[in-house]
Amino acid sequence: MLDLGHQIDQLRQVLPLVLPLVVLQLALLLLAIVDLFREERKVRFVGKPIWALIIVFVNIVGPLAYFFVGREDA
Amino acid sequence: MSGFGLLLRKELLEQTRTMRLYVVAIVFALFAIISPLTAKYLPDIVKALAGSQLSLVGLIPTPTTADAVDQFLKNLTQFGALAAILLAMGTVATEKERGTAAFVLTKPVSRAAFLAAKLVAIATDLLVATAVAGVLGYYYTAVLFESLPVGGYAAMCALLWLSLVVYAALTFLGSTLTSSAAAGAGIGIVFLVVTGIVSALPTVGQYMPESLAVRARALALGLPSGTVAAPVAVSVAIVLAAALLAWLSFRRQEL
Repeated sequence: MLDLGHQIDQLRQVLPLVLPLVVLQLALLLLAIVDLFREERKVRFVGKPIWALIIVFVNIVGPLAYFFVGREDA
Repeated sequence: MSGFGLLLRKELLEQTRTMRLYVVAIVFALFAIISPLTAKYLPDIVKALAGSQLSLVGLIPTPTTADAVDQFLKNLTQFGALAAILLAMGTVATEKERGTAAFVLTKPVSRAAFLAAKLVAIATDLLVATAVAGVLGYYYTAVLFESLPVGGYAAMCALLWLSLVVYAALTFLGSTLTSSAAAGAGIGIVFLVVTGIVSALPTVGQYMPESLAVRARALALGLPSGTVAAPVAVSVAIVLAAALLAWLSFRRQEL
């Protein structure tokens, strides 16, 4: 029980530091997804569904690749 | 360089409209946060995974401030170089390919201004992203380890930015020489590999842009950094030479 309490205390300490990381990751992912599904958006190399999978599942590099390589106007 | 101010405003507006500035800043911010966190908690994670293999646990060193700075520099040098290449690879090549460069140059603007505005806009993107990363990296290092001298940390970020501008300028040269973004990126990567190899040479290496990271680390940690002026001068010279070569090639190109 003592160990669990210690772990919860540690989590409380770490959470405020990790939270911005989660927020930034989500912001990057949402920026990419919203941009991808704009009606006028044209993409290269693969279709929009594949780009959506790349953005969601390839951490950080996925959205980066979409913005710089995947967009028609990139 | 007639029309430089106008073209620079256009380029900076384009960087925000295409969200490139925000994307690069977010990626830099992510690595700035991840680096000190990894330095601090990776040993704990390894210890937890090691479980009953207690003999391994004793081998894991206690994390220090130097580990946080090392992680920061390692991550931002690698992903920063990738971002610099991605930012610069299509900047001129794509505009030539689509014919927009020819259209812009029908206005009363010089070709030198056209190129300079693009290079300065890329350097500005990298500057904003490095500044964001520097502030976050400094804060997280201070919270998780100890406060470092602000001046030294800022100097580290300035050197990091300069090394990224070198990669961007070399890729920018590649993008000007070719008509394809992929070829531009390829040339940028080749330059990156070549400067990497040259930096490993015993005498010349200490003047190459890659040695800026070593100096940057020492400055951040308040250690003797050796001469910073020489690699800084070489890096600035490479950027100026790349810009000059790009202009010499671009002014003769049929658009």
